[in-house]
Amino acid sequence: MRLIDIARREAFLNRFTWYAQDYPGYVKVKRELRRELTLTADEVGMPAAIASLGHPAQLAAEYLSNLERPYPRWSTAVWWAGAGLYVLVGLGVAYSLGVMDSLAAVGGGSVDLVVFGTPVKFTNTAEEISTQFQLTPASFVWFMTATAAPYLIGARAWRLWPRSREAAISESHAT
Amino acid sequence: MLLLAILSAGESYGYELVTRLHAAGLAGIGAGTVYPVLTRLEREGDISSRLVPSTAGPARKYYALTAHGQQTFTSAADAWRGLANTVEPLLAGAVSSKEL
Repeated sequence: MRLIDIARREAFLNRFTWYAQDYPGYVKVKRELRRELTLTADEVGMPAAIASLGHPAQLAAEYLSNLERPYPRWSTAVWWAGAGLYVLVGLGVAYSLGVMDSLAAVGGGSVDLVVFGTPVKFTNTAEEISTQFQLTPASFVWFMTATAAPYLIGARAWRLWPRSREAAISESHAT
Repeated sequence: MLLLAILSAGESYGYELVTRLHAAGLAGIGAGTVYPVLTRLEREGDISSRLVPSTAGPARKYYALTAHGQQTFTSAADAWRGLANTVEPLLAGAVSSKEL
């Protein structure tokens, strides 16, 4: 097989993996698709073999739609948790910059505040600009709230409780 | 049901199933539709698979209908014929009234 065909095949499979990462056993599916693509390319060429599979996102959607019930999306959830952490850190930094500006506006000094459950000592003087903080259980609670909650929502964690697709469909029809 | 129908005639592999569907006039069904269905049918026990060495490279995966799959196919085919028998007179009636 030519290098360009291997590159095409792997590029397609990597894109498929991205979309199918929430499919249980997607590594096995990827392995089988690699085998099928290799063999089909021998008959019709790699471009045609790849084209017959359609868009990687659509192919992944086909696999997911063939599951007997929806599964949690743990990979997507990591991005949600990251977004939650980003917002928490961003707010903390913005708040800290605001406090520093306020200290500068009143001629400098130090102030002790609690930011998201974390005691922080802000200092802005001619000699020193610093923030000192001490992690507490409350800090941990804030961290967990900012990351775990988006993680569970992003994962659609309620899908852990098995419920047949038929039941879900009939319920949606009933409403 | 279509895949089960083809496999009831003998074992086959993924891309061959696609080409046979195309030959039967179902050109809109691509490998991207067939492979996920084969995975599901195998998971549900309607078909089984075995790897056959290939000269082209990796071993080729051949699928065959199981006894459970034969029952599933018979039920699905009966249901389809029942639906067709119900719908066909209605369609025929609609055509007749349009001709009048």
